[in-house]
Amino acid sequence: MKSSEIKEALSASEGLEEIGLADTEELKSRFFVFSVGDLLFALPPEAVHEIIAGLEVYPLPSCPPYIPGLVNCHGQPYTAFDLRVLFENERQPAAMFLVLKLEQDNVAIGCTEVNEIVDLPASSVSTFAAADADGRFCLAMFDHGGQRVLVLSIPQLLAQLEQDLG
Amino acid sequence: MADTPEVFLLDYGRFDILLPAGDFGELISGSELKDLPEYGCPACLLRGRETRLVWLDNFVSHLLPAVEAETSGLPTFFVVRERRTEEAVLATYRSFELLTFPLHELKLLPAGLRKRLGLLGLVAVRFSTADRLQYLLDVSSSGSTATGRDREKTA
Repeated sequence: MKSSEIKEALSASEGLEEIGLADTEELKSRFFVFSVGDLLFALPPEAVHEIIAGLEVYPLPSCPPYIPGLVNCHGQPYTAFDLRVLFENERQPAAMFLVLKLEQDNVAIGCTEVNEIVDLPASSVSTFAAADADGRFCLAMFDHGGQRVLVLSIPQLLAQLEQDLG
Repeated sequence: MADTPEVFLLDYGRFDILLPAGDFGELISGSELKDLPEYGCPACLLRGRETRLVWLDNFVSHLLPAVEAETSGLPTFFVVRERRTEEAVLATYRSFELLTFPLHELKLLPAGLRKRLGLLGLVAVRFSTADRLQYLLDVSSSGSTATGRDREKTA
């Protein structure tokens, strides 16, 4: 079997293993809050499929620094993101990974701690100005316990990766 | 199409490289070649024709970090099946074994990485039982059989 045939056969069977659709665009008043070093991020709870601790990261060639490699989630390769590299240009070893529910891609976000699920009134969530540097990868922000929490935009993260990979 | 593809497995220490056997038409032992090309040489004479020579350790070194080239013993030359009009030979001093895996154990890369890494020759991965990653390479694609120097030029 040639590599092209293997690729074709794997592509044909891939759709069967997809997880269900997730609407990560829709802003909810309920957020799943997690830490990456000192940074706090949030996602809609329904965007997170699973939290897995202690995954080894396998290196990949030619990827931007915020992609440390692949992780093995139940036998499937997932692209690992290091958000601290994106936001602070520093590496952050991940204690656990948030496995996202996405239709088109396998993505896991490294984090150091899973904090809590918070319910917030919509008025306490502010959107970013388009020119805000942090806003490139975020839909909104809110204050929680005196700390700023950034609501991640997964489509923006994936768009950045696509752009960086050319 | 076989659902248990044959692959050549080469041990690189912290990871393995898998080469689909179907990509190669012939294997030639170094002992069968009168004038062995030097390690790193980008071409060889195959049946009187100058043929592109890709040293697997060089190729892997450009993909993955900290690969020390092995140059002892006799190399094996994997003759890449002819694609389009170009022929290439993949050479390695490393020992290898021919194995079969169920197709479903090979996993395509996540969609966001597939195109870019596919151009580099990285097609799929397999998580082995010891939680060790095996990289399935397509060194026969025209882009990925470029020498390191060629690829640096085009980067």
